[in-house]
Amino acid sequence: MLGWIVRGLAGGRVTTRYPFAAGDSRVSGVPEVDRDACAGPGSCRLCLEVCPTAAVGLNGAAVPEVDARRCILCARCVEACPRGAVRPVPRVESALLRGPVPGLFRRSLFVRHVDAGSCNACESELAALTNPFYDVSRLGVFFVTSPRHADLLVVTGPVTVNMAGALKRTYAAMPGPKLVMAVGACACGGGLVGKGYATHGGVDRVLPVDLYVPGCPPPPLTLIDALVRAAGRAGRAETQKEVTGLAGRA
Amino acid sequence: MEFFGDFLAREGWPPWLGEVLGATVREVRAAAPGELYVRVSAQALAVACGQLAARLEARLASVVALEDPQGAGHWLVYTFRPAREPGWVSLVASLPPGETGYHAVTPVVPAAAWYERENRDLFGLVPHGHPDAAPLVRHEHWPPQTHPLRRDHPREAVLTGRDGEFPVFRVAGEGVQQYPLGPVRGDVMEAGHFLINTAGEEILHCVPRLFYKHRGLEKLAEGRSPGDLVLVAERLSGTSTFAHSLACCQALERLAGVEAPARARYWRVIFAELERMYNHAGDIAFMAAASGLVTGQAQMAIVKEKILRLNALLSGSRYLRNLNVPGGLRREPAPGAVAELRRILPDLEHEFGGVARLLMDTPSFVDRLETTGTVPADLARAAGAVGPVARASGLPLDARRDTPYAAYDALTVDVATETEGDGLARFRVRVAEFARAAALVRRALEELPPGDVGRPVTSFPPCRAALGWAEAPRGEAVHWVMTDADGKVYRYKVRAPGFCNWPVFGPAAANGNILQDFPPLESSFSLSVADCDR
Amino acid sequence: MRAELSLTLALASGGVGILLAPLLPGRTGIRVGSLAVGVAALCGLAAAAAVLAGGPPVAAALDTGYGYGPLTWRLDPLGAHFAALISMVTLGVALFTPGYLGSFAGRRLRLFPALLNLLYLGLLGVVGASHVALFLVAWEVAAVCAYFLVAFDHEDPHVTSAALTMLVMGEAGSLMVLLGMLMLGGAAGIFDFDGLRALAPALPSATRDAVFLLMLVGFGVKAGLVPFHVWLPLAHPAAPGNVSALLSGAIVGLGVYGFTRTVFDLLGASTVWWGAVLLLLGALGAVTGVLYALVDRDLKRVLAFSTVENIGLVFVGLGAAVLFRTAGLVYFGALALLTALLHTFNHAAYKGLLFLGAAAVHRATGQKNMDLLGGLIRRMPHTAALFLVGTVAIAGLPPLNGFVSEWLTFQALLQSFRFGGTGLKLLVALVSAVLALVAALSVTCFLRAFGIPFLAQPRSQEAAAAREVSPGMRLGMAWLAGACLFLGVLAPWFILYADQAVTACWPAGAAAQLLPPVFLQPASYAALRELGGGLLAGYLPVPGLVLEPAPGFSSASPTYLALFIPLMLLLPLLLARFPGRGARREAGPVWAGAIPTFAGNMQITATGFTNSIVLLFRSVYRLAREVVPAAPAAQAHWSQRVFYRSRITLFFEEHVYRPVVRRVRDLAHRVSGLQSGNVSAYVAYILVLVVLVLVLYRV
Repeated sequence: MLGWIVRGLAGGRVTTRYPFAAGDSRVSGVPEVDRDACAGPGSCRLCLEVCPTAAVGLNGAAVPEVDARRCILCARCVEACPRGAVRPVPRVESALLRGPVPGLFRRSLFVRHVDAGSCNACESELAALTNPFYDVSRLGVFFVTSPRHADLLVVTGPVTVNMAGALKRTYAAMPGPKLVMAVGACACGGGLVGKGYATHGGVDRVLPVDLYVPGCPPPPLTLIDALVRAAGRAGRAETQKEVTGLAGRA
Repeated sequence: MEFFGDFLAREGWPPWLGEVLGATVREVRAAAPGELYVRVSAQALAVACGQLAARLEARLASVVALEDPQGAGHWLVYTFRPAREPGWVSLVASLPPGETGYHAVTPVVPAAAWYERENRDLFGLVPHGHPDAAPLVRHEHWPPQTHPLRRDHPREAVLTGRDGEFPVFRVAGEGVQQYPLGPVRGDVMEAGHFLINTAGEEILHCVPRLFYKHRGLEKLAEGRSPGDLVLVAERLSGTSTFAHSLACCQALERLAGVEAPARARYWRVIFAELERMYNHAGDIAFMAAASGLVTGQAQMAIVKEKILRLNALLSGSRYLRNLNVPGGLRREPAPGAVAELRRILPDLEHEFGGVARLLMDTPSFVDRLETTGTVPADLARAAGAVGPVARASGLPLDARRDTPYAAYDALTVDVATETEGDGLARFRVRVAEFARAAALVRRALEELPPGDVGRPVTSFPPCRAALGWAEAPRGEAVHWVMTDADGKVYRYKVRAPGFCNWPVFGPAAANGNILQDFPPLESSFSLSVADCDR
Repeated sequence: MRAELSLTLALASGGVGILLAPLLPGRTGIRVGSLAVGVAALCGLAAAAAVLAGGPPVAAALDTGYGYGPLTWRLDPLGAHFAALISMVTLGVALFTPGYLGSFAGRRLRLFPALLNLLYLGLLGVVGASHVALFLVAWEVAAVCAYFLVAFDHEDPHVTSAALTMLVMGEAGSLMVLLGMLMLGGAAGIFDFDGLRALAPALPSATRDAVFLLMLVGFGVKAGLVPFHVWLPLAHPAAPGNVSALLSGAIVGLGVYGFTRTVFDLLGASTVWWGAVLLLLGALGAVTGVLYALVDRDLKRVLAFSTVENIGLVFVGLGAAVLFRTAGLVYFGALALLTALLHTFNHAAYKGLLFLGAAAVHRATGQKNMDLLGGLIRRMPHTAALFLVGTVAIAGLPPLNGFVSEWLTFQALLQSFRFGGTGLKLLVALVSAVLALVAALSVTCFLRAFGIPFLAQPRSQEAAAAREVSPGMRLGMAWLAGACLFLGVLAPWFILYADQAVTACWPAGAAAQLLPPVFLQPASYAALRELGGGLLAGYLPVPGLVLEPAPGFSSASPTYLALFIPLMLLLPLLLARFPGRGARREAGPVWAGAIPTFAGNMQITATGFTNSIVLLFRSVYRLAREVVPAAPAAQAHWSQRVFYRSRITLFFEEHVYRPVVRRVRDLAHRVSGLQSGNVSAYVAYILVLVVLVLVLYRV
């Protein structure tokens, strides 16, 4: 018993000060296309063709855009671009909010996680949130076992057909007001698997989603930023991004 | 049978082949070195499998079912790993078109149980005489007569629809409660359902019901270029990303007849061992959490997080994604990162060792694991268990030593085994493996040969098949790839370590445990559901 | 005068019930008979209350001319205490019976009300009998009526064998009682209780000890004292529900009455080893009862074993009383005796209620196996609420009556430090520890007995289809629930009356010290007044409402608790009633990990609830359990059939009675060789016997 106490005290404090201080992403981020360096879709469509999840698209813009929600960070577009116009941009605050969230959860947010067919990397990152480095309980965020106690439903995975019913029942068991957060490329837009015989292709095909957290998997600091914003607190304001008009995609 | 390799005349047969299988052998083909495909008739398949298992002490490593590329029925491939002979032996049988039944191999080789159930669900191939009629992958709401892996089943057709009856296993007897656990359970846990029959405290029977996470990755791979296959392999199980991508790359390299350069092979060892280290730290943290020792969990989680950050520094991805390509590695880690790795490695060993020692000295932790979920050696052997679960029951199985790959032939592996087969044995195996993995990383860094780390292979031969394997943190993973006439992937089969170990979980849970033993039991197994379900 | 009038009315009403009810057809007969016995019980209750209130004792005498003296019947306070007990239970049963027997229509219903009335009159006869012959005749009448009532469902062989066991053991007990009474006064030719009382001090101690043992066995059988209790768990479940209530309430009380009357009143209990024996047997009974109650699935058998446990507690109280008296601590002896009498009364109230509740459940669902019940609180809300009152009472939770008698029992036992010798102190301390264990286990047992059948979801179709029982049945249960409430909340008032029963057989009463007159002498009890002891002064005819077993040692007031507990609950209830703005209520299915359907079999079973206790005490239960197939490998398949079997052994039945019965059978088998059927042999026997007589008497 004494050994644990001594070890704990000797280890000191390792907890990050994020979100009260800037955070470092440490992982490669979703690529962005440099408008000036890109030759334009007229002469070169390499990045569009090489993407395995069709994350790079035109959407009527002059240069291709990478939809962060579909990107699996394979960096093939980065390698394929002959001009180096596509570069990964490490970014901590990459969560996308659909609209305003209720202020009810500002002081504490209770989270129920449902695994709807993820590969387990997102779960590992979510589990890392409670380790001494990140410790989300200092921010008033707690993971609960019963959806009856939960405010936020965090879903990972592209929603397999075998889990869809369970996911809907979990959502129905949560008392209102409630939020849904899709974590990871699979949950946001189907990821590599997409829509198939066994998968629905994203959480928003089954439930109404309030927050998207892209990444494959999104690192813990990104998850902290997403949780803080789900709680209705201001994130690190300079990088906040709100996405409107997120209609269902084909 | 051309896609299984080149024809092997009788003179080229290994000496034991004629003795053990005799007249049942119809044709033998050899693919990449060490892979033998022996064709037998469908009627003789079960007997032949039994002979192999008995005479050569062969372990069933994988079973693949596939449709014949020319449409001439189905093929069944039962891959064995003999104990005393080198290489892999696959018994192949063909079922003519329209024929969907065959003699089940399970009564003779019990390890075939789940494979045959899976093939029944996904292909509609019915094993006659199989003791278990329950579906494995199919859940109650699938429309009847749907076999998704058949070529005529479109990939996009989502299987939803009718309501079915939720299956419940009931133990007959007075006062037995069917305690449902899952699929949504715990704080952050994978989806799986455990129906525990309990008399209140004692666990009488436990059936894990998986495949809630079945994503259809094998069908996803079909028709893609082999280069994209690595992307699929990486997403089988995020925490075994590197091992699965390594097995897949090695299968593709064997398919193409290419070997990765020596430097790449050493780096592969380093990354694979780093992955093993962070997984074992994470599993032990889970074990501490299951016993309520939150401070132990926190200390171990620190070790895991440090290794994940080290991974990010070395490769840009905490889980070592986008690193392996067929032919080697995508790029080499920066010298600064390598220096950091050298610097931090002894600290990691020291920290892990300290926490592990403290855990062994904490009676409340040890008591929860001792005699919990005992897996007797004969059960582990019969079920074909692999990984730390098998090693804790006394089976000295380790793909790094038994079938060396990457640089493991030069860097000999010291396999850690225990004999009790209980939770504590599985804990001790992981503790020993961490230290040995760190030692391997240090040796590999010291002996790192010069050169480049590989050129990605861009073209793959059509109509060929090959095996690839790696010792993932949870056990041996076996991948099998077959290309079609255009050089695209025709069939991709993954046999993850969980697929062999989950069948042992139920009997281990019912082996004299109480309900309170379930969390330490589950954590001591630490099996992955994602790569088992695919 | 009032008491005599009441008793005459009771007799008349009972007579009507016995004579008239069988003549009327079916349901009318039941109604009339129940009404008759109900009126009789009410009158009996009034009479008993009048006697306890200090009125003149009621007496009657019948001169038979046989030469044994007039058969006197006198209701003194001790008898009145038990008469009140019996009447209370009988009234509840009377209200319950018409609705309950409705479904037994068309069968031998005619005799049932008559038997009920006769039983009641017999019981009244026993508690007032003041002559050996009257006592025994009334005793036998009660025993025979009880036998016929228990064996009502006589097509079932289990029922008839259980009833027979009860009768045979009862008769063996009666024999012992007869022997004991003859030993007391037979030599002197005295058969009157007053005479016996006067005679007893002069008897040699060997005779007194022998009489004590005979009375212990004889009345112990009837009361359900271990090791003579084996008929109880057989007869109670076998009898129809209302009869079980009577058995556990009235007839068991009769055993306690008989023992108290003979040993405490007539013999004047003052021998140390008597107290020690009572204490040990009581503790043994308590442990046995609760351990077997915890593992049974049949709701009625659980209640039967619980009766064994409670009688154990009563005898612990009686034993403590004897020990205190022999140590010269007369007040504490009175306290212990009062506690024992209170406990018998309280037990009759709540056990009667619980049995009626179990009968209502059985009526509504047809099930006695708790593993197949569940969710009845929504389908039978009134029955559930009343059963809950019984459960709370028996668990000993304030402010109901179980709390009062259990608390007082422990308080009396805790006074053991006043004993001189270490041996006695150790003994009482050991027994106290055992009783503490018993109390905890009994709470578990009744949590299970209420929780499994009533709460959660139904575990079978029958439970799901249950409907609330008839108003009459609910009224019967409500009467007993009201009695529990009264006996608990107004315990200080009741104690004043129960104390009269104590003074009838003890040198001094307990109420004077137990119930300090806080209202009448406020100045002397300043400490208690500071704790709130002055509340409600003047509203009730009591000198105080605080129970203080020993001055400065401890004090409690169930009346005040009854006021404050609801007040404390009020605040959270109000908060729950008026939630914050914007909050809505939604109802949804049970959450069970997101599985599609939650079925009744996924809930904890009665067996499962106490599985951990069974495993802990597995050597006591001689637990035999097996899972087939056992080997881990064999259970790997979903299609496998797996069986689970577990069995416990009842200790006394298996290791004490069965060997004896077996030996007796063997002996009888051997002796039966004499009945050869050969006439010559019989003639030879006669010849031998005649020769023997001639030789012996030298004619």
